[in-house]
Amino acid sequence: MKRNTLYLIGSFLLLTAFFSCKKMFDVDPNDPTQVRKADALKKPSDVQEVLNAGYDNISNLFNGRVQYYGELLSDNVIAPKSNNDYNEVYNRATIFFNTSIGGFYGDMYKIIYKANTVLDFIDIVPDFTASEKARMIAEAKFMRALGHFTAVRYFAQPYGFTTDNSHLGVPLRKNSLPEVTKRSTCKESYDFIIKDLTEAIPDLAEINLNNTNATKYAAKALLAKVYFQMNNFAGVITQVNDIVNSGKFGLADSVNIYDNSVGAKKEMIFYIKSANNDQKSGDIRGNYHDVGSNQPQIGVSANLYAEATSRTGDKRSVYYAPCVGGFRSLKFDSNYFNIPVLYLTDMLLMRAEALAETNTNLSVAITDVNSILSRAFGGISQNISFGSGAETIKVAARMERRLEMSMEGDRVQQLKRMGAKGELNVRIRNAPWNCNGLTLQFPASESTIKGFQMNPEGGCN
Amino acid sequence: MNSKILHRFFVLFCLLFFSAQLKAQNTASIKGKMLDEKSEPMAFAIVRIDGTTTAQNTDADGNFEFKSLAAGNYVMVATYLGYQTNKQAVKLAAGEIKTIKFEMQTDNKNLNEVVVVGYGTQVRREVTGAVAKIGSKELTAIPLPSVEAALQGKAAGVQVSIGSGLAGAAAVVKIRGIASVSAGSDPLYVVDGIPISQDYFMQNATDKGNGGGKNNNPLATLNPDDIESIEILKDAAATAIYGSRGSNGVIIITTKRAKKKGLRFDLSIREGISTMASRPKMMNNKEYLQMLQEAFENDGGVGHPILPAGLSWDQAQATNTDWVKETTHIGFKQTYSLGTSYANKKLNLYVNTTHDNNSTYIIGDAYLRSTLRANLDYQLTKNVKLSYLGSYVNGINKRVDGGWGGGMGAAMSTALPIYPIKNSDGGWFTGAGPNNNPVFMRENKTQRTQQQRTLQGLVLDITPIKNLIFHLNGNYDYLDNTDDVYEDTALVKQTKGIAKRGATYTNNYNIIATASYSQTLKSDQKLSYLLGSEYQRTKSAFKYLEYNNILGPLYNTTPVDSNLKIGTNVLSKSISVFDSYFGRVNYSLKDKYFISLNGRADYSSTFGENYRWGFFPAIGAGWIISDEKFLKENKTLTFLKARASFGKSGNSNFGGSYPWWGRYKVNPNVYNGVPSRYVEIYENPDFHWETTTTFDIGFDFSLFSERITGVLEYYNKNTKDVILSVSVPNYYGFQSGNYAANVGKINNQGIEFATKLRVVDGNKLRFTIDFNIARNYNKVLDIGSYTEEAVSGGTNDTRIVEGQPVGTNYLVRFSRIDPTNGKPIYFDKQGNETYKWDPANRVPVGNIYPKAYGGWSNTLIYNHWELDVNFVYSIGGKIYDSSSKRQLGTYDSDNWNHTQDQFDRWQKPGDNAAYPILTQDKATYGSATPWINTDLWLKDASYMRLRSLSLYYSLTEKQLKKAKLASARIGFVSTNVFLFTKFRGLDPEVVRDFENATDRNTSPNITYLTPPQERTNSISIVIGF
Repeated sequence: MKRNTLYLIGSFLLLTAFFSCKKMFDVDPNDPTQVRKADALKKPSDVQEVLNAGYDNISNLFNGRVQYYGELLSDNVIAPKSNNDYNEVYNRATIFFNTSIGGFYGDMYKIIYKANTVLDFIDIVPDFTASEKARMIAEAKFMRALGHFTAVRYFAQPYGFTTDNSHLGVPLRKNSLPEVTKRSTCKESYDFIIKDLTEAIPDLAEINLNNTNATKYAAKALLAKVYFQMNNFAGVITQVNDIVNSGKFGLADSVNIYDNSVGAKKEMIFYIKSANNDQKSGDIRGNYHDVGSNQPQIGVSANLYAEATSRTGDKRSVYYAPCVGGFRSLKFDSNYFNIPVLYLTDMLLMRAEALAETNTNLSVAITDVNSILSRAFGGISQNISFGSGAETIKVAARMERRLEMSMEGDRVQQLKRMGAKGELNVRIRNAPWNCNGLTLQFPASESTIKGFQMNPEGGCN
Repeated sequence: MNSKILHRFFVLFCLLFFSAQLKAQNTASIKGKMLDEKSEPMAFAIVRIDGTTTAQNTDADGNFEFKSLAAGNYVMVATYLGYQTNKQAVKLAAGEIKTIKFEMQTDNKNLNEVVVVGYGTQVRREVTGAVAKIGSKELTAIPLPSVEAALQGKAAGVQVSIGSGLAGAAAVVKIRGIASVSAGSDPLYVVDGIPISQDYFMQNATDKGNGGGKNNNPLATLNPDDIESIEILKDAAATAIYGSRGSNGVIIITTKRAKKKGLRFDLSIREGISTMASRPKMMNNKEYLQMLQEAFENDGGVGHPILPAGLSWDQAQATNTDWVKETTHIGFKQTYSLGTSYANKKLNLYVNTTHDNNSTYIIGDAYLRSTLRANLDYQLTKNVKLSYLGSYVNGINKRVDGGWGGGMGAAMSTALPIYPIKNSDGGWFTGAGPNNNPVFMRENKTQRTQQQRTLQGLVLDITPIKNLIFHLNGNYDYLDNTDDVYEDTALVKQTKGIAKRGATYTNNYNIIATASYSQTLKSDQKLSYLLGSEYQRTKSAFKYLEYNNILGPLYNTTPVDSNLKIGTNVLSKSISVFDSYFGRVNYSLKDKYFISLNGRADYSSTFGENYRWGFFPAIGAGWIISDEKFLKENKTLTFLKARASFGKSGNSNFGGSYPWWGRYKVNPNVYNGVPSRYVEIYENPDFHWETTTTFDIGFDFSLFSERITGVLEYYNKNTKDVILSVSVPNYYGFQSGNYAANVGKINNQGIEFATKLRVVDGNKLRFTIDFNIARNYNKVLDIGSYTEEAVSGGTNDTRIVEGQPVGTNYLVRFSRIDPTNGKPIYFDKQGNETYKWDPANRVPVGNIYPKAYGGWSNTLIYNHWELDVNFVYSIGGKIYDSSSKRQLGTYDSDNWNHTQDQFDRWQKPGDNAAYPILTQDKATYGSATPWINTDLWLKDASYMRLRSLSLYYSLTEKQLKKAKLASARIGFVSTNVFLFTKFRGLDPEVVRDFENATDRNTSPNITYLTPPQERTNSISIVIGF
């Protein structure tokens, strides 16, 4: 009897011990599309893949939204046809429930997060050559700067809104940890962006390795734009000189850089690559383009149309047409096309204006403006004369800038910059350049942690 | 691993220790027989010698015999599930053989019933925890969409909201309030020993998600006819033995066994009809056009407004489609159930098959269920019993679009009365989009979900020595949920259709081993021990398929090569494992003082690496005060027991594989042809269970010899580490905007009272009232550094706000309508009136959970007639009538039909109306968005519902004999007979959707085109032979 009992107890114990067999806890789901964090960053190519993910995020941000949200705040377009979220932007009354704007903002920080992942973990990855590692760090810093600069332009009042720029900028993300981050001041934001770009420039590649990667000149071009936004004209001139003098870029032959021509590519310093199968250009095209005289989601304002068609012989004027509800842009009618983020036309016009503002090397400024005008009119008919004064150059540079960069979201930034510079009566669709609603509202998600300061609303209508 | 070995040695040591205690030798005997009310022998009943642990099962003829007893006085106690405990004193001389007889009475008095607790059973008298029991009669009394609906109103503190009138609709069950936000707060369902998979979020084929609120309900696969009893474990003393999964309460489902010797058949048939319990009051064409015209003119329009779908004003006036009528009908329901039971000396067999055809009032909506169950116990040897429990269910849920997905939902919204069903040429009218012709959609879109489930269990009970039982139990639970959609040619506008399939497969198994031993320390002290371990592994996979150019749905069409497969199969998997060790010690002194200690240690793959093990202990104590001298003679208070318990249990109902793991997504080509990888899920090694510490004090009482019995209970539950799936700031840059972390604290406290009054308790006439009420106070104590924006109840505008209850409606307050211009006026955050609707002005304005809820049942029995009247009620909760913001809002471009309630609108200065001036322009209502959430749509959801009314007639003995039947009963049952409520919408009892756990917890009482409950009328016949 006792013996039987022992056998039974023994077998009971064997059975329960069997439960704990190690294999029964092996529950790795083996999802081929996922890698555990601990196994994710083992070699240099893994880090490169994180950078690639960052470039993908950039491609999803600059393939439309940066452009049309900028335009919706400006005087270049009319009220969107039907989209409620876009209408809020146009009405300069975004609220924190605007999920489109929430996604727009979030995607900037997705770029930054990829950059910070690289910067935080690159040191644990073996087998790097020093130059490869330096390049990846530099690309990450470029990415982080691009993300922060875009955020500060759309979600904060511009540089110069307060004299010491102590007004609120955006949260600056310096690492990949989920740490509570308050908004930095505008000055701190710009300082950090400039620091990242300045540190990145020496280690970036001279040429674009993979069509889409950031180069030394991409960082310089971005830095030029940052300085321009700050009305730091000397900074603009230095950076653009470097780009032009490198001899790597030339103006596109066509007046429409979106025409998908081979010639368009030579002036692109940093761009979003679109192919027939990935349709990266679908978002920008989808919002500006429509068939025949149909009204697109976002149409052109009468004011821009008038300016674009005011001069005979302007080849660019054929890219505007009347349609139901007003006018539309025809720039984006190709099935797909690369989208410039940083390109030479922008650089030359910035330099021209910067030289005019500082009244230095005006002949270079005149050459810059005339190179654009010659292309637009197929000859020198509308060129400004050598010997033109700074004011003439500035007016011409600004007009060409509006026309060259129409629908790209640049216009509102320029108007804000002029306002911040102290130019009088800068108004955007009858609203002062610094009214609250011209900065987009942060999404509700930002207020999930106590202490985040949202933007004040209203005041533009 | 070392600690596990030590653990097992401890088990061994204990067992050896117990076996050494054995002793015997004497000569007298007590033998006897146990008979039921009809003098039939009762097999498998338990007879024990009071004050000792010596006990026996009766054999198939109801016989028992205790040999080798010493001379002396004994009290013999006979117990049987569902019968009153019976005691007899026996005086035994040396060598004497005494024969006694137990005549058992059915127990409708609950103090001595046997209740199932975790991993065992106990007599109610000895239970120290809070356990409610529901018997099989209540489960099969009325037609139900799913078994959990039967719990409604039956147990204090168990709140059940039936989701909708859809076939197979799930109910939300909350036990003692709500202590979770983003983790599931459903109780743990344990069927015959296995925690079953109960994932509500099984994706369907339409959109790989919830698809218009047509949720899959895995509990619909349980057959109420197979269930013997349901026990609901409520406090820590009862649930700690379920460790990290016990804190939401545990629902233990025990299936049936043969009750009597011999062969018996039970046949039951029910036939019924289903209609809408309440009907939406939509406008007809004239009314709609008149209101639209008024809105147009109010906005300054001249002439007629432009109508949607290119309809002319004249066409619209000539068309009047009642879409509610077109999408509903009288549904028919049938249930046929045939049970066979057989018992002899060694064998107990129960086999049942049930077929349901449950069509609801919605055309095309039905749940057809066929189930087969076989339970078998076989006494292999004197010491070894083998049991097999098996079931197979095939559920076919025929579906149509619903909710915001269309169908009857469209009839209440986007299907305007001015749209015809067919054009004048006889073709379908799809000019307003196919979805706005629900009849067209129903005819051209086939939707079917097949749920196949099998539960298989094998149990070995070994009694190697007296009082020591080894229990080995292996269970397997497989669920295949296959959702098919076929969109026909007219819908997809091509020569052949499109077939889609979303399928979820769940494999779930567990192995349990327990050893229990009971002993008598001295004559008046009993001690029993239980030690056990359990391993459970659940694996589920989701697959999605889509074929173009195919002739029919995938369940009856095999794709051939020419059928173009669209996209790739999506296959996601998740696996989780639990490994657990548990134990219990029960001590009783003089059969009136009871102490119980429980504990469980859980390891789970779902816990972060910093929290691999959780330990959940509890202590409970009971004192039968009425057995003390000072109360013993009291004729009024015939029974009084005080109970108190304190302990911890957990909730780890968050699903998924390693929810704490950080993961990178790898993608071979997202942009520019190069591979990428990025953090998809942020790692959280601290992710773990929620811990609830519960204090419970309760009194069980009986007055006037059990004419009045009842339970009064108070509990206080503090939950910490509450999981919040917070919307993290976008500046984190995470891929998903949500991040789950253990950050919250929630308190629930409440009072429960349940009583049974035997108003008349005669032989011929009996009248019984059951009443229960529960009041739960709920408060979110802490949500860390987060704000009320961090967790949102989906689209439903409920939030988690510190200092407020879970599920607080967080809305802009509506003030009044300006009588001068008819515009709505809101309050800003400070309470000042404003015309502007601004979400920045949202404040906590209500709570979706009721202040009190419960049930009230009346049973009147006269001779062979029985009348049951069951009410359920809910007091003080709010309902957010979310679709009203559109059905009673602007006549904007969404082109919704409106409800007739909007007739009460402002028309001219001085009007005092319920709703503002009609307009097509959202700006008139002060908003930039057309659909405005305000507390104007927040209503009192208090209700009392006559849940069921039943009348039965049982045949007399004489009639039975003549018909050669063992039993027979016919009945008429009506459900949802009427509703007392102030709510003017469809139904105050509603669950909008089961989109995710957060929505289920924080927004059940939101209605958005949700189909109202059904009213059923049926007749039933139950025959035993």
